Amino acid sequence: MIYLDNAATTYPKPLAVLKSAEKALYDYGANPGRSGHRLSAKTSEQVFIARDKCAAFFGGEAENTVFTLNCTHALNFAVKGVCAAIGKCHVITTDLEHNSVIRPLHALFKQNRITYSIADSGDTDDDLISSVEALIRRDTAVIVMTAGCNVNGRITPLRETAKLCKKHGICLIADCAQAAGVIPLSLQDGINIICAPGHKGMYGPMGTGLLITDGKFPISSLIEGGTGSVSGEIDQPAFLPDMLESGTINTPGAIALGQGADFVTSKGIDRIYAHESALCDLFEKQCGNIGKIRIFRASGLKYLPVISFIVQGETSSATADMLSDNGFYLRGGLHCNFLAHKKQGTLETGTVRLAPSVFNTRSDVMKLCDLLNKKYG
Amino acid sequence: MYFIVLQSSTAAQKAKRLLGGYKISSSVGKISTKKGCRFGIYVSDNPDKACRLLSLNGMNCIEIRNGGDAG
Repeated sequence: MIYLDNAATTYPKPLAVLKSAEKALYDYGANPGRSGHRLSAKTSEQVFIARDKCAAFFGGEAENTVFTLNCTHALNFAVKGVCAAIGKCHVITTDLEHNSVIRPLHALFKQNRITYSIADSGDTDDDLISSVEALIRRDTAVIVMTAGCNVNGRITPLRETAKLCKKHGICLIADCAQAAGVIPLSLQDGINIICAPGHKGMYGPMGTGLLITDGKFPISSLIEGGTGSVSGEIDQPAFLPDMLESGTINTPGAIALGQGADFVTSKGIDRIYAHESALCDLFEKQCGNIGKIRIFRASGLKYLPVISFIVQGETSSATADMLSDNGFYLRGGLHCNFLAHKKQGTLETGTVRLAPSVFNTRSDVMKLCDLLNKKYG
Repeated sequence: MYFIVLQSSTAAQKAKRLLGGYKISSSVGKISTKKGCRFGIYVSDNPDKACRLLSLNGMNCIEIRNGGDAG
């Protein structure tokens, strides 16, 4: 079995993460931030340690770091929460965005709570920035942008976008689903809210995600309920993280996510990026000359280690099924991102997506390429 | 013993860590008040100093209670 679907979730997880989750289930089984007894306090402490590690990883503060169930939750909280706090406004996003960006925006639009515009990402970073800038209006209050496209891996110019946002007083929300743990990302780069999954490049368990804010833009709550704080008051707490953490969090997941942050830090983000990118480059070199295979990468752009391809004459699902039958696990289809597929002309076929992790090797990619050569060469 | 009421459980954990950096020992606790349950930290003495240090680090001490009637 060769797993190359790490853009969906990383597998396997580091041993330290597995052990941390197991220990949390055995030893930190009380509900954190609820009771006053020692076991609850011990569990709370472990959650805080993980929260602090995740905050530091992205240049934030622990109190402004919210544990969510995944990146989609984080994006919904961020997009809907900021727009609710601001009132009716205009939002800009791009044609590279995942459904967890465009669907919440479209839902808000249908409720007449925002208008939104989709910037054409063009062929270069300058194209994208110019396109975004041209869409800015007086009522533009939010820009939501992916740090890296989950279909073709294109890295966006977030720092330049952050400068634009600062100039215009616009809130920048970054969808870091594919980029977290792979390229350096920090609130210190000018991003106002980072949304990230815990279970992809951070190597935490599924059921974890992060919303980290610099606190400069207010966020309204979406889910109100028990927070373990100011329980005698009817209003949802106005302070973070409690405001956005109603109900019991995924405690073993959050604690294990702290270990995931440690794992990435100890490996080094630059080394992780270099390793995984080298595997994608190897794939491109070995399979790029197979006539029936088309790889979606362009020169002059920077890419995450995520690479899409199709086999001409068959659907991506058929290719993915063939690969699965032969022990290679990759995802075929639209990857929950019809915008990116529409832009690159693969809306009808979808693509097969290769996404290695730190645990994949050159041998994994060579074996995949040998199979593709055998079938389609 | 004094109980410093803080904003939340997260704030209490942060406060314990911050004070630990100043070699001030504290423990996280929870009390019941008319406004509901509140988290905070217990310190054995000099709560004003503890609060000052927390304030220096951007934290807000909501209230100081004596150990006897902390609950």
